[in-house]
Amino acid sequence: MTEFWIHPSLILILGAGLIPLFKGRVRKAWLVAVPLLTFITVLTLADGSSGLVRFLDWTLVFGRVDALSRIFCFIMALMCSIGTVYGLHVEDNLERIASWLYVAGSLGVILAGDFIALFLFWEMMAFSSVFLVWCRRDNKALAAGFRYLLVHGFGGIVLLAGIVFYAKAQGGDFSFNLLDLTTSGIGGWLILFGFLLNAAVPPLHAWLPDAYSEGTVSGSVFMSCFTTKTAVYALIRGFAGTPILLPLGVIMAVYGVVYAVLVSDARRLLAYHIISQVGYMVAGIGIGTPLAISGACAHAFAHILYKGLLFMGTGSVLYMTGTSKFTELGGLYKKMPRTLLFTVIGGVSISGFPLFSGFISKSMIVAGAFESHFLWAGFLLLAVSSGTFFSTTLKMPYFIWFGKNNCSEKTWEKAGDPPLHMQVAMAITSFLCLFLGCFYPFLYKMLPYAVDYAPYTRYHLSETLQILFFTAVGFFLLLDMLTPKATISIDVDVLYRFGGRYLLRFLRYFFAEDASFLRFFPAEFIYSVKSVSEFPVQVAKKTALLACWLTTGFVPSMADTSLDRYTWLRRSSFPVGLGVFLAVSFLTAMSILYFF
Amino acid sequence: MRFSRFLEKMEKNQDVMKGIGLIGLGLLIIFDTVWVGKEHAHTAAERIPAFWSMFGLVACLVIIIFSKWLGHLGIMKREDFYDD
Repeated sequence: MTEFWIHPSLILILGAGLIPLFKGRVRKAWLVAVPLLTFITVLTLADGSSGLVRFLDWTLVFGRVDALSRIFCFIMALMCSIGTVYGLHVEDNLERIASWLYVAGSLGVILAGDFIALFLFWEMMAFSSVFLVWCRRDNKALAAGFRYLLVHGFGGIVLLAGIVFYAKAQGGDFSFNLLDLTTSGIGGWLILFGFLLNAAVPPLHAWLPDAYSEGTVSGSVFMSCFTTKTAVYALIRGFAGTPILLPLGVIMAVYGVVYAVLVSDARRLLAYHIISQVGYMVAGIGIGTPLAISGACAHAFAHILYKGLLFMGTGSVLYMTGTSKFTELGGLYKKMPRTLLFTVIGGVSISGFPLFSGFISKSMIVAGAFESHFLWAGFLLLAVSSGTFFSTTLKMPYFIWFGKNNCSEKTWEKAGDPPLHMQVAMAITSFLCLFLGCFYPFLYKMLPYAVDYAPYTRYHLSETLQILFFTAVGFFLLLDMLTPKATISIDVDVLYRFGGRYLLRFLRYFFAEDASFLRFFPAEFIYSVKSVSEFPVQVAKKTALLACWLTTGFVPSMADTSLDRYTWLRRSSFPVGLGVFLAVSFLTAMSILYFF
Repeated sequence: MRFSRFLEKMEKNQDVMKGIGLIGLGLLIIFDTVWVGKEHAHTAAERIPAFWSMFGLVACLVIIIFSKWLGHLGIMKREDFYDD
């Protein structure tokens, strides 16, 4: 490293660390200045590999800059500025620090030239973004945050395992470039799994609607923009042209749209549309032609803006009224007209309406599909754009701002357009959505592959307008069917939500001193079985006690027996010990497998 | 504010809005059949006049009805489904 090089993440990390020192106006100025400085630093990044750090036997590359990383850094840093302005009212320093560390992680992943640096920032994203959920400070958010962390912890471990296997197969080379799944062995597949989990590909997606609908008002604006799009970047860099990504992407696109019809919470609806829109990008990566890859980049760029805008709009509704459920809103256009306007601009942008950003980005992927003769994919993606328009531009605004007024008196009283800084953030983003849609060469020039694609042809205009307008006809025909009901839609997270609960219950019974899981059975049965079962139960119990003593230094039989089981479990250091015990068992099993 | 007054007017004159919408749809189909060259079409089916109109309508209806059907199969639950 000869020249002076500043990593943009470093500015955010240092900036975040200093936030608590400032108060009042100075703090606000700081909050605006640091992301802007980061953005300027990103603009000045020069191509090439910088930020080389010697670590043990490796040279880590923290700053690989080329057209691909530059476009992603550009939009991420820009969105960080807008999101911070939107969240200026937040007094909670923890939330602000977490959001900047999260963006820093995201920028770090994008600039990482090797897997070690990538993994470092990858985990930083997971561990900082969870605070954006927790900062809502209620029990539901706490639980959702833990689930989010567990899923991402699992994904991170799989990714790490993949990286280790892959680097071993490459002879100790950790550099992060295009992987070939046919020769990379299991390592490549595990890395792909880790990336796909962050891209929210079903069935690895349930963390997204779960956490994003529980996040804080400004926290969800951040989350909607960074995790999945960083994964899209990683997929482009590592797996462009991998055939399996095309069907996966189309499944995502359809899956998100189908669920969005069912949900009755605005932010959950938008979360499912993230899955759907990221599906387009994943499909584009799977197609792998320069047009499709550039389309995926362009769509990620446009997506970050309009999805941020949509989350800002619904976040404003949540902030002002205290709810984002369709069953508790309606008829708000008199109270929140500007928020309506901004949200609809986000809606028409995501649906690919002419003059707005989605029109010039989404169509590149669809054109890429048709050009490579994946007709089924092209048609399905166009059908999905009908569903997108219907949910985000028709259904959501209709049930919040028009339709039947379900507001309680209190909600109606509180409703109104949000504070100025939120409106400014939304206005800037709305302008950018319109700007990209009208002056598309601005975006096309930044794409990693130069493309010769003209979005505004007569045929394309006619096709899009027909699909969108007749979707509106369908919407009004079936309006009665769509009346929101107070329901939730279960997703694959039901497996670990209930699975976790049952596992915990099972372990509690098993590890309780008198094996109370036997309580489930009738008494006669137990008496007859007891004499036979005594022996293995005793053995299991003694083993468990020994393991418990070894891992926690705590002997359960010495515990105060007057306490009931649950209090005892809560008071002991047992749950941590259990984790350690499971980890040790797992590692032992793995080492035995490895050595023999 | 002017924008909210405009919306209010829209809500009061729903029949007029409907009329404007229908005229718009008609114009769109005429525009498609008369003005738009079909040399960009990916498949032969797209040469049918107003193909994309039918496509949009059918896609929307299918997505809504299919989702609702799935929902009633057991995906939609009461709001307290996850509560202890």
